Amino acid sequence: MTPPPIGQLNLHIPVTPILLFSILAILIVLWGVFTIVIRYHWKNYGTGKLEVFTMNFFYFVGSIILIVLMVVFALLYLASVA
Amino acid sequence: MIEIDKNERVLRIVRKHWFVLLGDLFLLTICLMIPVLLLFTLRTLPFATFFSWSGSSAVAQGFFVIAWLFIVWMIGWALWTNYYLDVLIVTDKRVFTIEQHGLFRRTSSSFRIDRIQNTTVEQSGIIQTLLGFGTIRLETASESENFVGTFITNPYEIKKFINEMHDTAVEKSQLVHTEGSASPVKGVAFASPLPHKSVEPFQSSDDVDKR
Repeated sequence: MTPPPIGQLNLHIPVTPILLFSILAILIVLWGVFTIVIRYHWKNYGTGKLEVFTMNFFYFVGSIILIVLMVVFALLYLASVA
Repeated sequence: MIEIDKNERVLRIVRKHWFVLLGDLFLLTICLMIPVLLLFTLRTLPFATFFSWSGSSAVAQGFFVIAWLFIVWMIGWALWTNYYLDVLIVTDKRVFTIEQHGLFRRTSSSFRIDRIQNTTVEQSGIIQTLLGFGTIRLETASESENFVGTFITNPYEIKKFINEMHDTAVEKSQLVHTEGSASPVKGVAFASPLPHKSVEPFQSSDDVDKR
C-alpha cells in the first residue's frame, strides 16, 4: 500500500494570534529557566568578574532584542487579523 | 565552586583553543539555515496548504523565524558556557582541572603542584602545529588518574610555566624541610612534605653514643 501524496494529507494547522502568543509565553518561560541555570554556572564557576559581567551584558541585550522582536511580530499579526 | 584557599594565589587560567569552537559554530550555522530551508520548502512543496493564516502570513513567518533564532541563541550560549567553564587553573600551590560536560555534569580535580612527576606535551598534525595547540599530560606521584588536557593553547609555554612552578614549590618544601631538621629543640620533629609518613624525632650523635 503506497502512502498518499503530501497534498492529499488531511492536515490543518490554524495559525491564530493565540498560537503565536502561546509560543511566545512558552519560549519566555524556557528562557527564564535557562537564564537561571546559565547564570548560576557563570556566578559560581566563572573565573573573572569582568568576563562574567561582559557575558551577562551581551546575553541580556541579545535576549531582550529577540523577545521584543517576537512581541512586535505577534502584535503585528494580531493587528493584521483585525 | 572552585575550592581555592584564601591564601592561595591564582597564577594562570588556561582555556581550550578557539579551534574547539569551530564545531559548535558549524552546528549553529546549520541551525540558522533551517528556517531558510523551511521557507523554501513551504514555497515549493504543498506544505503551505496545511496552514491557514488568520492574518498576514509574512508577519507570522517572521515571528517563527525570530522564535527559532531565539532558540538558537540559547543553544549558542549553552555551547559557549560549556567551552568557557573548561579550565586549567594554576595556583602557587595546586593545579585545578575543571571539565564541564553539558550544563549538568562537571568533573573537577586538583593536585599539589610539587607532586607532579612528569609533564608531557603532544602536538600531532598540521592544524595543531600551525595554530599552536595540543594535548598536555600531567603525571602525579599519586596512583589516581593523571590529568590529560586536550586542545590546550600554547601547550609548550604552559609546560614550561608548570615546570617552573613545580621547581619553586619543591625548593620551598625542601627549604622548610632543612629549616625544620635544624631545630635546636631536642625531640622536635621536622616538617615533612609527606603528611602520612611517621617521622623520627631529631637525634644528635651524642644520643646515639649514649645508647
